[in-house]
Amino acid sequence: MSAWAWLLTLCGALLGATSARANPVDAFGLGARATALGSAYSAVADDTAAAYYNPAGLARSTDLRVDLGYQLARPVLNVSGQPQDLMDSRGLIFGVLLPGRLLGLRFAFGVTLFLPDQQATRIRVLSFDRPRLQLFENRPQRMFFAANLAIHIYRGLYLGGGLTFMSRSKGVVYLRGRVALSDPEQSALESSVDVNLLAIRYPQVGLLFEATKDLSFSLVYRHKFLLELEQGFNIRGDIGDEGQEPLVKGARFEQVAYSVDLFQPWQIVAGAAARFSSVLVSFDLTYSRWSEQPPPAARITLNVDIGRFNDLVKLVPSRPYPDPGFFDTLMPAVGVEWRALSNALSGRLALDLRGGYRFEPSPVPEQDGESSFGDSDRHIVSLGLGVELSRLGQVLKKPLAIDVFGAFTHLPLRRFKKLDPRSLVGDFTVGGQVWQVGGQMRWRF
Amino acid sequence: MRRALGRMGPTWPRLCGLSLVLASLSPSPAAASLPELFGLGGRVSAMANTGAAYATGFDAAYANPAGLWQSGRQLTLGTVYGGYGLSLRSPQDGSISPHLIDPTAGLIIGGSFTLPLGGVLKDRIGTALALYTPFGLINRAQDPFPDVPRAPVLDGRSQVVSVLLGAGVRLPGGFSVGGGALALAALVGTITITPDGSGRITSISEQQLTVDYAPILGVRWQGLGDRLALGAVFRGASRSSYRLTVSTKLGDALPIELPLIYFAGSAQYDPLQLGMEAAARLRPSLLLVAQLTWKHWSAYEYPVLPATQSAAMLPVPGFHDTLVPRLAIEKTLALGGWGELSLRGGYQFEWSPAPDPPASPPKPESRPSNLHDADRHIVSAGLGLRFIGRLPLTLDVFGQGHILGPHSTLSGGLGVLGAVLGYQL
Amino acid sequence: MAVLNMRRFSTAFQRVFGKPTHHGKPQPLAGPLAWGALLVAGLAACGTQGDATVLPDRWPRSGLSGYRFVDADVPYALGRFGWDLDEPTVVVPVMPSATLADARMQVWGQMSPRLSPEKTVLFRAGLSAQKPNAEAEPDEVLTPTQPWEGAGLHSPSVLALRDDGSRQLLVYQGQQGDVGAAVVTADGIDKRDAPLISATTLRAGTAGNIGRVSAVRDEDRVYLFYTLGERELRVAETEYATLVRAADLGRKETGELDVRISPPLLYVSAVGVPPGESKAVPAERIGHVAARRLLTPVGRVRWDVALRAQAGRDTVLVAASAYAEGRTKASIGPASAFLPVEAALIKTSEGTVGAPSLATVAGRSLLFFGLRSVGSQVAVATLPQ
Repeated sequence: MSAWAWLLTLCGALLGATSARANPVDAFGLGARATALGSAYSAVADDTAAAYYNPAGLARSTDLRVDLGYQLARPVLNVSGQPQDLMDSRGLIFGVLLPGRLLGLRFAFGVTLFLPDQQATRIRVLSFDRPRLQLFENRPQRMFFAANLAIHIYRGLYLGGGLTFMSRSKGVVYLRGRVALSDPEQSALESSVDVNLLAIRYPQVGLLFEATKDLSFSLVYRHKFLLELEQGFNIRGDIGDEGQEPLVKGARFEQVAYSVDLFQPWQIVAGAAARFSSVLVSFDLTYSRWSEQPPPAARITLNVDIGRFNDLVKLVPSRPYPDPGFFDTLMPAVGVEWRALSNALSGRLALDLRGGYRFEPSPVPEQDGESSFGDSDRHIVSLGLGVELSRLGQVLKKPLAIDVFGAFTHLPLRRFKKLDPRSLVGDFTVGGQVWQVGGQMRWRF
Repeated sequence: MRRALGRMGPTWPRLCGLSLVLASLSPSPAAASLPELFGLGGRVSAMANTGAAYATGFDAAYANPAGLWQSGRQLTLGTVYGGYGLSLRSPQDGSISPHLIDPTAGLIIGGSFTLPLGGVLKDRIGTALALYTPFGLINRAQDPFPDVPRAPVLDGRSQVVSVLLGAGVRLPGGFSVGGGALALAALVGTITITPDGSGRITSISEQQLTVDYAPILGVRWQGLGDRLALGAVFRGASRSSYRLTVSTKLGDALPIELPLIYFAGSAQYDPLQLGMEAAARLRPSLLLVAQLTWKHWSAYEYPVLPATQSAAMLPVPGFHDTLVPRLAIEKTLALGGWGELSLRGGYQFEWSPAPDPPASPPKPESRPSNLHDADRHIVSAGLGLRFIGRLPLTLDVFGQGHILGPHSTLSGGLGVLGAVLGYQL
Repeated sequence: MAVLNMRRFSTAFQRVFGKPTHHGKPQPLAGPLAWGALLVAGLAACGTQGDATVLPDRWPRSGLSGYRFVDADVPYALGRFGWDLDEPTVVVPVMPSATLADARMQVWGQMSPRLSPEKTVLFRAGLSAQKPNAEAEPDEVLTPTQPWEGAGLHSPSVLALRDDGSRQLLVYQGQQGDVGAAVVTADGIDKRDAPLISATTLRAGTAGNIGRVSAVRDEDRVYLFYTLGERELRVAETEYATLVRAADLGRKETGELDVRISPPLLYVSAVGVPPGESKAVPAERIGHVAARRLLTPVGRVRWDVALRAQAGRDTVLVAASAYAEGRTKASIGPASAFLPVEAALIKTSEGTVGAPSLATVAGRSLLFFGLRSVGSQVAVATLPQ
C-alpha cells in the first residue's frame, strides 16, 4: 500500500501543478473518435482523450501513446434573425500517455492539451443586462490541459483522477500624476502595477469496470470551477491643465470590479459500452449541476473624491445581481462503431465507421426579467471514420490510427419573452447550428 | 537514467583546460532567469545551472534539447524554495533599508521519454515536457512607480509559470540536435467602465490570456568513447507581457473625463542567450563541466510602458551584454548493488547587466533609472541518489547560495533549496 | 534577436493557405496547415499567440434608454441657418433594406424662422441610416393655407398608403391643435381643406390644450397618441379605412372623422425627472409624444411612446411602453396603461431637448430629437453596441 500512497501523492502533486483552463471540450468534445461517437466515451476511452472523458481509461493501455489532431467548431447562431459574430473554437489536440509499473501495479500517466490557435483563454465580462449567448461566447475559447494518473486496481477495475487548471486574475493598478481637465489625453499619469494571475485547480476522477471482455461500465465525476476576476485601479493626483495651478489637489478615483467570468458545473457521468461482434455501442448519461451558476456580471465599487466637483458626481452605485436561476441538466449520448473492414490488404488495414447522437438540454431558464442569456437545446449528430494501419515496417511496429469526424448541432429556435415591455433588450429568439470537423492521428509505441 | 558520458580518453586534459581558459578570459558573467535563475532540475541546479553537454532528462528541455534522445522514460516531481535577503542603500541620504522580494516557492514537474521506434529510428528521438509553477500563481505583474528602487534581475523572477516542450534527435557521428520552446503566460485586453442600461456603474472587459513563446535550440557532440561531450544551446528572448487598456465612459455621471489608460509592460524578461559547454569524464565516476554563456541584456527595455500619452519619460535601463562562466563537478559512488550516490558542486559568476550606479537619464525630462543589480557569486551543491532494482527511483537535492558582489546600492544575498524525485517508467 | 510576433506569421500563413475572414483570422482549412508550419517555424522564432480583439456585439435591440449621440462631435442630423427645427418624425420604408449601408429614411418635422417662431412650416429630408448625422438641410414642404391651421403647422406623422412609399398619408396639426390630413405623392401634397379631427373632440370634454399628435397604424386601425393638458397621455382611435377614405374624399370634404378617445393611459405624476435617479421628482408636464408600433422577434406587438417631461428647470426625454392587449368592444387604444421607463432616453448637457422620435432602421436603433442651444436643430443618437 505504500506504493499506492506514493502514487496518490505523486498524482495529487502533479495534478496540482499542471496548467490548464476551462472547457471547450464540454461543448464540442475532445478527439476525433470520441466526438464521432457522440461523446459517449466514458466507458470506451483508452487513449489520451480519457483525460477528459474518464481518467481511469488511461490505465487500460500498456502502450506508450501519442495523439495529435486538430478540431474546429463553427457556431452559426442568430439572435432575432441577426447572425452573431461568434468565434470559432479551433485548435490543436495533443496527448501523451505513459504507462508503467510500480511494485507490480499497472498505472499510466497522461497529459492532454487542447490549445486554441487564437488565444489560450478569452475572458469576457459584460454588464448584467447586456444580452449574451451564455454558453457560446466564452466557454469554447479556452485552453484545456489536464494531467491524470490512473491505476489498474484489480481484474478489470480501473481508477483514475487528475486536475485541470484555470487561472484568475486579481490585482490593482495604481496611477498618480495629473489629470488634464480640458483635454484628458494630455493627462500625465505614472502607473504602478500589482496584478497576479492565480491558479485555480479542479479535479476529475473516474472509475471503469470491465465486467467482461465486451462489456464495460463507467462512472466519472468532474468538479465545478468558477473563474473570478478582481481588478481595481486607483488614481490619485491633481486635476488641472499643464502649466496651471491645479483646480483640485489630491483628487481620488478608486474602482474595484469583481466578476465571475466563467462557470463550469460539477458533473457526474454514468456510462456503458458493449461490443457485439464487430459493433461497439456506447452510452453516457451526464448530470450537470447548472443551478449553481452565479450571476455572470461585474460588481463595481467606486469611490470618487474630486474636491469642489463632488456635487456634480452622479454615479449610481452598482448593485447585487439576482440569481440567474439556471436548471440542472441531464444529457444522454449514444455512439456506435462498426468495424467495416478488419483484415483488408493482407491484414494491414482496418476500417471503422462511427456515428453518434447527443442531446444537451439548455440550462438557461426563460429570460423574462432583466437578464438576457440566450441559449437553446442542442441536438448533436456526429459521423466519423477510423482507419487503422498495421505492419508499417520496422520503424512503427504497432498500428497507427487515423480518425476523422464531422458533427452537426441543431439549436431549435427558442423564443424568449420579456414580462416588462420596458426591457432594455426586449423579446428575442435564439437558434442556429454548429458545424464541427476534425482529424486525429493516434500512435502507439 | 542513462549516463550522458562514458569514459574519457587521454585528450581530456587539453580540452578541459581549453574550456577553463576560455571561461577565465570572460570579463564576468550575468544572471539567469526564472526557473533558470536557479536551474531547472535537481542535477543541473546542483551543478551551477550547466547541462548543455550532459543533461538528458526533462531538465534537458531547458539545458539543451539535443540531449533528449537519451531521456529514457521518466516522470519527475520536485519542489524548490528560495529566500532573499537584500538591502538597498538610498542614493539620496545613504540610509539602508531591506529590499523585500517574495520567497520563491514552487513545483518542478517533468516528463520525458525516448520514442520506442524501430529500424533506423531506434533510440534516436526523445521528447520532454518540463514545467515550473509557483504555488498558486501563474503570473505576477508587479511594477512599482518609476521612482521606487527595484532589482529587475531578481524581483519576482520566479513568480511566473514556465512551460517547456522540447525534442531531440540523435544524428550520425556522435552529434545530436534538439529544439523546443519556452512558453510564458501573457495578458492582453480592454476594460471599459461605463453605466449599464439602468445608469448604474459596471465594467465590460475583454481579456485574453495568451502565450509568449521563445525558442530553445541545441546541438551536442559526444565522442572519445563518450568521455567528452560538447554542447551549445541558444535560447531566444522570452517575455511575459501584459497589455490592458482601460477606458472610462461615464458621460455626465462624472464631471471630469479620464484619459485612456494603458497598463502595459513585461512581467518577466529573459534575455537572448547562447551557451557553450564542455563536459569531460576524467574517470568513470568523475564528471567535470565548464560552460560559458553570453546574454544579450542590452536589448532589455524598461519593463513598464507609459500609462498615458503625455506621461513623463520613463527611465532608461542602460543594460549591457554579459558573459557567465560556470564550472561544475560530479562524483559518483556505488552503493553496493542497490544504488548510486552522486556528490555535486558548482560555481558561477553572474555578471550584472546593470550599470553601477544606475544609468543617468539621456534627457533632462527623463527620470533617473531606478533599476539596481549587482554581480553575484553563486555556489551550488547537491546530492543525487539513484536506486537500482524494483523501485527505479532517483532523488536529487540541491542548494545554491548567491552572494552579491560590491555595489553602490544593492547588497546581501539569496539562497535556494530544492529536491526532485524521479521515477523510471 | 528581436521578439517576432506570431500574428505576423499567422498573417503570412493566411496569405498562403487561406483567405482571412472578417476577424482577420485564417479560415478553417488554413488552421491545421498554419499550425503545422508554425510548429516548425516556432522553433526558430519567438512569438505570441493571441491578441486583444474585442468581439463585436451584434445583438439586435429596441431599448428605450441609454441612447448616445451617433457622434458627440457631430450630433446633428438636420439644421438650417436662421431656422429652428423640431418635432422630427422618422418614416422608415415598408420594404426594409438588407444592409445598413443601403438603408435610407425620410425625416419630417417642423421648422420656423428664428425671428418668427409662430410661423411654423413642415419640412422633409432624406437621410442615410449609416450616417444619419449628416447635418443636412431639409426642404420646406407644407405651409398653412387654411384658416383652421392658423399661423403655423406642426406635428407631422406619415402613414404609408402604398408599400413602395409612393403614396403616403400625412397627418399634421394646426396651430390650435386641430388635426388635418394630406396625401403625399411624387407629384405633390394634396391637402384636405377641413380639419380631420377638431381639437374640441380631442379634448374629450376637458379644457386642456392638445399636445403633439402622433399617428400610427395598427392593421385595420389608426391610433393618434397625444397629451392632454400636458398631464396625461391619451389615444384617439379610428378605423384605417375610414381615415383613408376621409383623406381621399377630396379637398372639399368637411365632415369630421369619427374617433373614440381613450381614458388616460399615462399620468404625468408617474414620470420621474430625472427618471430613475434617487433625486427624481414627479414630472410637472409631459408632451411632444411620438409613438411607434414594434413587432418583437417572437411575434407580439409592443407600443412605445417617447415624450418630453419637465419638472422645475429639468427637461428630459423619456419613454413609456406597453404590450398590445387583446381588443374588446369596450377597449380603446392598444393598451390600457403605459409604463414609464426609469431611465432617460438620452442624457445630454449639450442643450435643451425638444420633441423625440424613435426608429429602428436596418437593425439600428435611432433616436431623433430637437436640441436647442443657440438655435434648435434635430440631433440623432443611437444605442451603443
